[in-house]
Amino acid sequence: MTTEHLLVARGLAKRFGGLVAVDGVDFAVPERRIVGIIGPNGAGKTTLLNLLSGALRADEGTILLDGADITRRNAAQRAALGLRRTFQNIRLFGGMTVLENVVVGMHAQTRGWIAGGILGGPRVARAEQDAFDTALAVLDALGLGTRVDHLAGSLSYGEQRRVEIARALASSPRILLLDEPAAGLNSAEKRAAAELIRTLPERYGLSVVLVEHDMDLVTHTCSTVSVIEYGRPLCAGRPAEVFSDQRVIDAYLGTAVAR
Amino acid sequence: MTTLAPSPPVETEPARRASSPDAASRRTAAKQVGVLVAVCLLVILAAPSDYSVRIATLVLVYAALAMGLNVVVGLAGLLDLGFIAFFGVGAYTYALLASDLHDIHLNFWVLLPVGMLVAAMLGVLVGLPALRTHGDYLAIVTLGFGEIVFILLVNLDRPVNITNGPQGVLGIDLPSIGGWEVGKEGVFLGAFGLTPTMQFFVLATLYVAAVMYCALRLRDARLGRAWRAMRESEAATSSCGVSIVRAKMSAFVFGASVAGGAGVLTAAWYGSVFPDSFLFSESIKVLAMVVLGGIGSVWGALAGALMLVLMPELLREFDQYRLLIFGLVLVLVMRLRPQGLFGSRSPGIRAPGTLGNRIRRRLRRPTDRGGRS
Repeated sequence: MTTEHLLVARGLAKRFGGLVAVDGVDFAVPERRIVGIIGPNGAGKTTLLNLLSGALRADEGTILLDGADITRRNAAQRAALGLRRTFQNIRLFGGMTVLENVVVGMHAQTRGWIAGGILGGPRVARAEQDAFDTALAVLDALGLGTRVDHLAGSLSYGEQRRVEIARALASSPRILLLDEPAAGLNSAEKRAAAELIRTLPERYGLSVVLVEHDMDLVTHTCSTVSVIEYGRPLCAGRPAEVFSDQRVIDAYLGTAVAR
Repeated sequence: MTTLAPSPPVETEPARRASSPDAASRRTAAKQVGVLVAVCLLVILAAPSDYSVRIATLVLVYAALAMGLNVVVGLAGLLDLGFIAFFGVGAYTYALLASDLHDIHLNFWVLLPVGMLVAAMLGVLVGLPALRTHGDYLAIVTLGFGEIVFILLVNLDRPVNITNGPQGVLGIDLPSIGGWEVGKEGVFLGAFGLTPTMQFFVLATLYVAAVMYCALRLRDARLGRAWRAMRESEAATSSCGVSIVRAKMSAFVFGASVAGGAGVLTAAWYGSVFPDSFLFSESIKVLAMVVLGGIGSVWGALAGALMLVLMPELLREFDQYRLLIFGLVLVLVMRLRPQGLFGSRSPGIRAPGTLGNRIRRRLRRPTDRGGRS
């Protein structure tokens, strides 16, 4: 693997009891690229994402972020290193304001714990100010400028998806893992989401791993796509090639059976 | 700080946020503490008797406890059923180190931070195993811890007498400032005077004011945001870079030290401590104050303490019907205002299914009618 690969996973495996959810997946994400992961339901896409984000611990394999081994780091540590994610079923802090949601996402950029929180001080105050400013700027950029003081739980589904992305973006991550960001969106929202995701690498200087079912979205955003089936890699390549690959069509639609 | 290309620099729109978040939080906290102190001042001026001042002091002690537990249960979402043990540990720290029992007489102002520290250390000790459990299991572990502390207080009179067992500790020192002892004799300056009872009320006011300031500041600070986020989704919070164990531990330790300090104060005020004051039912009482006042609300904790201390006193004339009426009023409040006296209703995202959250959801349900049934 060359150094231009930001995130590298080798031989990742995860078993749940007897079920092998992910079985020897190699995976590499170049700098400032969008890489898609597709596969039929139950193929292990979300499990793979959970292994990458640290929500699950891999049974086998190694994960490198920018050349450093992060296999044994937990989710919080990986997040602080710039590996961020969103969730398939949105997980916002519904009782907190949109702005607060995004500032929680900037935990590594803010300062102070018990004493710092009570006493404040210039370092804490400065970091808070910067975090709130940056959060406002990101929310503005994602078209949520008028929603900053709303409770996150009161927003529409599409807006909540964007808040979740803003929460990850505000911390200036190196790499963003998106778990089905278009799920539950209507077609107009889907187009807007595709446009947003497509421009992320350029605007924010990051790479994106996109787990998605929506073929249109994948075609419009990803430079390469990896297909997994039964937890194993099936094939990889440019979206157009992959979607015309007979093995992929078989995996999604099932093989033709002679009557 | 970062290069976020498409947005205009924030400096061009100062109207959005007039002052820095830290300064704003500091002002809010100071203002609310000011209100509290003003109210306490009015109480002392208007109090008709020493008895009523004593009741008011009791309200303040419970308010401090409820504010501490509110951080643990209300902000961080950790159901702690052994909270009163930290209060007991604080009280006994003072009782053992400032009385004739062991003939040690350390100063109150030294022992106040010591009591908080001892409670905090115990919080770490319990927290290490307990906080790795979730929801209902955490409740059971803390419940067991509370019982252990109670049993230790009762039984540590043999083979070496440490706590003096069920007899408790009597003759505890008064707090002293310089050579002057708080609560020994009245201080009078012309028409204005402070009876010994009032002096303890002032001491309790200062303590609650400090606790309230800390709780309000923390709520809006980085740690408080992490707590409130964690209560809604641990997975999302850790994906934001927050160490869940560390955040939980901090809530636990903060609550414990607040209770420890309240214990020191109460031991000095009463002049005696008994293990019976730290029974499981006391933990429930403080939890009831938090829920009644409104989970997550600092003023709610005060309101809950006020209600649960005052009501039994006001109902004395009903004699044997007292507890019946007391219970009925509690049920009615929860039925009519399920979010608590000062609680705000949070929107419809379901919080994780911890016991605390489930209690909250159940309590909230009646007003949720109309949406769907």
